[in-house]
Amino acid sequence: MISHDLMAPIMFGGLIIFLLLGYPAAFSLGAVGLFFAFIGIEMGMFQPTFLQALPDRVFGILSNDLLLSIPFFTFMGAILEKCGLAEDMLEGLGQLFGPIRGGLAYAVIIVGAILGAITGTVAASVIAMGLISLPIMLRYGYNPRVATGVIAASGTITQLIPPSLVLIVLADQLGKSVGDMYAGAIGPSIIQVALFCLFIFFLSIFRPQDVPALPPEARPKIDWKLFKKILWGIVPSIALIFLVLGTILMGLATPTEGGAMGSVGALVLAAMNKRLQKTLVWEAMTSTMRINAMVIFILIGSTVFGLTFRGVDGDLWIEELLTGLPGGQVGFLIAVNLFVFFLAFFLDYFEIAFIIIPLLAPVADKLGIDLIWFGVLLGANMQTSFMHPPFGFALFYLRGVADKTVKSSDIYYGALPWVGLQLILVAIIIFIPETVTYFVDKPTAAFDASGPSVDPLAGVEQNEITVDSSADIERQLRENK
Amino acid sequence: MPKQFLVFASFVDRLNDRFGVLASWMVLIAVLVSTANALIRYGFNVSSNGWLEAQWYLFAGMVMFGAATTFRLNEHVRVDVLYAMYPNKFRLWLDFWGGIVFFLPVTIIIGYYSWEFFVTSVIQNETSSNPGGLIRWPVRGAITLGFFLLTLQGVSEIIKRYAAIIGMIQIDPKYERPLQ
Amino acid sequence: QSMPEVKWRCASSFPKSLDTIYGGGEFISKRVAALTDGKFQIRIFGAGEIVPAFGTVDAVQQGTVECTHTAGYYFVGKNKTFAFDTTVPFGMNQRQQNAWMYWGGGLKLQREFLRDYNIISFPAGNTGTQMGGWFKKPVKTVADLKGLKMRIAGLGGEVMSRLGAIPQQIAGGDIYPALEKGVIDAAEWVGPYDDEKLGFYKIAPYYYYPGWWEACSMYSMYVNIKEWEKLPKQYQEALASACAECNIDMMAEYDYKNPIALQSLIKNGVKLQSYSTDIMKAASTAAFEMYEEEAGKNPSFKKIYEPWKKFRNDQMLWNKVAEQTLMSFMLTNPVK
Ligand code: NA
Ligand code: NA
Repeated sequence: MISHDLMAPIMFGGLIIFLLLGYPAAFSLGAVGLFFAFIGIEMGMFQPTFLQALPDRVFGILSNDLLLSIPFFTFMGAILEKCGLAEDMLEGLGQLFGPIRGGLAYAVIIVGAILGAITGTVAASVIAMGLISLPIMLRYGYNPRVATGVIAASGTITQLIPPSLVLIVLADQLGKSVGDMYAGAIGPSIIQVALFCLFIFFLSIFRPQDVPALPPEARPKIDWKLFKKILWGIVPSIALIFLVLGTILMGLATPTEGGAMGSVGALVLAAMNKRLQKTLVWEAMTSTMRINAMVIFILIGSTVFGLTFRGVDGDLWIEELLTGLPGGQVGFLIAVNLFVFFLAFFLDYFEIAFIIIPLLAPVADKLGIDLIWFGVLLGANMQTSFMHPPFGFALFYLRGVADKTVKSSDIYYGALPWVGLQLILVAIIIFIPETVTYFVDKPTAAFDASGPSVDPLAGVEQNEITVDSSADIERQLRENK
Repeated sequence: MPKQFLVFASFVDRLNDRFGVLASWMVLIAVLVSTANALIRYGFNVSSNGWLEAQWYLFAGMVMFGAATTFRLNEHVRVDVLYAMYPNKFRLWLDFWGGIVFFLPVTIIIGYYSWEFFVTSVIQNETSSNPGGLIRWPVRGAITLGFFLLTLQGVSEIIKRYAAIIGMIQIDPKYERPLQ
Repeated sequence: QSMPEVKWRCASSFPKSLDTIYGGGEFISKRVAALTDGKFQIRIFGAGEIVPAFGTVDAVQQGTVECTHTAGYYFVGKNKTFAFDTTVPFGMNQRQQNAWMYWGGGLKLQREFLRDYNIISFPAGNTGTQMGGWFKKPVKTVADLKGLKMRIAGLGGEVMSRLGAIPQQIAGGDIYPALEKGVIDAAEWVGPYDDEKLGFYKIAPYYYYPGWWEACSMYSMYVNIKEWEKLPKQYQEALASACAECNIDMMAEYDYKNPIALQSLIKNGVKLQSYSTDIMKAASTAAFEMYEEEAGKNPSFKKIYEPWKKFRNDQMLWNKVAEQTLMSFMLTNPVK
C-alpha cells in the first residue's frame, strides 16, 4: 500500500519514466494520469466519477480564446516561410553589412528579430536563414560554429519577441493578459538582441578570423538598387509588424484577431510577391492543422495528468516543497529556473508549460512574485530548450537544412555560447525586474482605511429621489394584488 | 492475422484523412471569420457573440477532427532522448504496446465520459450564456466524435504495427520532430 | 460515539483573486471543520483547478465533485431559471432576497428546480448592490448606449443589448487591457473593493451607479443530493449553518470594505455618475419584457417568476414606508 504522502512524488517520477519511453507525449501524459487515477480510486482517495471532470476540462481548453491564436500565428509563419520575405531581407542586409567584420552575423540577428516580431514560430526563421545565410557565411570563411550558432540563436529570438507562442501559452497558464505579457517581453527582447550583437562585436575584435568581412570582390556596389532591394524586403515586414503587434499593443485587436489579420496580411504579401499558389496555401493549412492538433493534445494529455495530480494532493506537495526553499523570492526563482533549464534538455517548451507551470504559478503568487515578470522570465529560460544540444529544435532544423560538410559537432558546440548568453539574460531579468515591469502598465491597489472622509456624492448631479405621500402609499397598498 | 484487419485499418486511415481535410479547411475559415470579426467591429461598431463563438467552435473542430490523421502521420511529439536510439523493430513493439496500454485507455475513457456530457447538453438544449451566443451540443459532440475517431485510429495503428512486426507489411517507423 | 472522517472537494467558480467571494468557500470549509472536530473536511479548488468556472454544475450533477460554491446566473445557458438564485436585473436587494429565499418560498422553489440537476442549494454569500460600471465617456441617454461595447455578464448583458449596447464577455484579467486599449468602452465588475484592485479608475474615470442588473448578487453552495443524503445528520447541520453564516459574513465584509475603497477611489479622482432616469426606465421595461417572454416559453421559469414578481412588489411597497422614508431623511440630513 502506498502511503498518502508518497503518491504525489511517485506520480511525478512515473511521469518522467512514461515520457522518456518515447511514446507520443500527449497520450503518455494521459496514460500516467489515468494509471494513477486507478490507484487513487483503489485507495479511496477519490471516486471514479472524479474522472468525469475530463470532458469538461477538454471543453475548457477548446473554448479558450487565447489558445485560438496558436493556429493563427502558426499559419502566418508557414505562409511567410514560403513567400520569400526572409530571403529578400537577408540578401539586402547581408550585402549592406557584408563589408564590415561580423556583418553577415549582424544581418542574421536583425532579420531574426524582424521575423520574430511578425511571427511566433522558430521553424520559419531557422530554415530560411539556414538555407540562405549559412552557405554565404561558410563560403567567405566564417567559423562554422559561429555561423551555425548565430543562425540557430537568432531563429529562437522569435520566442521572446512578441508575438510568441510561448508567451501566449504562459499567459494562459498563469491567468494573465497576453497583451501585458507581450508588453513585459519588450525589454528582455531588446536586451537579448543587444547581447547577441555585443557577442559578435567581441568576436570581431578578439577572433576576427571567425567573422571576416566580405572580400572586396564579393562586395556589391552600395547604390540605389541595393537600397531598393532592402526597402522592398523591409517595408512589407514593418507593415505586417504593425498589423499584428501594433494592433494588439494599441488595443485595436485582441491577440487572436491580431493573429488572424496577420495571417491575411501574410497571404496578401505572398500575393504581392507572386507566390500565392493553391499548393502553398494548402500546405500551410495542413501543417498548421497538424501542429495545432499536436500542441492542443499535449495540453489535453496534461490536463488528465493534472486532474489526478490534484486528486492526490500533488499541488499541496509541490507547494510545501517550494515554499520551504531558503532565500525567499530570489531563492525560489533561481531554483525554479535551474529546474526548468534542466527539464528543457529533454522536454520541449509546450510540455514544460503545460505540466510544470500550473504547479509553479500558485506558489509564485503566494510568494508575492509578479506573474508577468515570472512568465517572461520563464519564457526567456525556455528559449534555451530550442538550443540545448543535442535535442534542441533549432539545432534539429539547422541540421536538416545545413550542407553535409557542416559537422553535427560544429552545430552542437556552436550553440553553447548562445545558451550562455540566454542564461545571462535570465540572470539580468531575475535581478533587474524593471526590465520587464517598466513596459507593463500595472494597476495598483491602494486599499487605505485612513484619512478624512469625503462625501462621495459631493457636487455630483443626482437623480431626483421622490418619496410618495402617505396617501399615495395607502392607495398603492390597497390596489396591490 | 486475417487480411480483413488490414482492410479495416486502411478504411480507418482514409476516413480520418477526410476528417483531416475538413480540419485543415477550418484553419482558413477561422482566419477569415476572425479577421472579419475584427474589421467589422472597428469599421461598423457591430459585434456578435455568435460570430465570436464561431471562432472557437472552428478551433475545436480543427483539434478534434485533425488529431487522428496527425496521429497516423506520427506527428504527435515524442520525447526522443531514448527513442532516437531504439532499433526499428523495438519502435514497432513500443508503438504496438503503447497503443494498447497508453493510447486506447485514454481515448476510450475520455470519449466515454464525453458522451454523457454531450447527451446532457442535447437534453438541456444548452446554449451559450452570452446574449446571441450559439447552441452548445455541436461543439460537445465534436469532442465525443473526435475521441471516437482517435480510438479507431489507435486500433488501426495497432493492427499495422502488428502486421509489420510479423512481416505482413513494411512500415518505416522513422520519426521527425514536428515543426514549431 | 465517534463520527466518520469525510473529505469533500468543492469546485469554486471564482478565481482566487476575488478574495472576498472565493474566500466565502474557504470560510465555509473552516466553519464546517470547526463544527465537526475536523472530521468533515471540504477542500476548496479555485476556478479551473478541477473544472472550468462554468462547468461546476455539470461536475456536481455527475458527482465529479461533491459541491460547488458558485453563482446560479452563470448557468443561464442551461436554463434562465438559474438566475433567480443569484439575481436578475431590477431584482431585490440583499435583505429582500434573503426574505424571499428563507421565508418567501424562494429556496423551496429553487431546490425543486435544481432537483433535475441532482443538486440541493444553500444561499452562501452576497455582495449587496453592485456598482454600474466604468465608462470612458459619460452616457446620459439611451441613445448614448447605441454601439457601446461593454463588458457585462449574464442577463444584464441581455438587457443592455436590447438597449442597443454590445455586451462583450471578457475574463477578469483581460478587462483592464481591453478597456485601456479601447477594445471595449465600458466594463462592470463588482463594487468599489473589487473594482479598485483591477485599477479601472486610471483609464475609465466615470464610475456609474447603481448596478441595476445586480441589486444584490447572492452566491450559492450547490451540493450533490446523493452525497448530501449520505452525510451524517450532524454534518448536514454543520454545512447548512456554515453556509448561512457565510451568507451573513460576506455581506458584512463587503459592507465594511466598500465604503473605504470608495473613499480612496474618490481621492484618486474618480467621477461618480448616476444612471439617468431615462436609461433606468428603458432598462427596467426591457428587463420585464424579457422575463414575460421567457415565462411564456419556459415553464420552470414561469413557476418561479410569478410568485417572485408578486413577492418583489410587496417588498417594494413595504420598503418605501418605513425604511425608505427614514433612510431618505438620514441620508439627506447628515450628522456633523
Ligand atoms: Na515572435
Ligand atoms: Na457585476
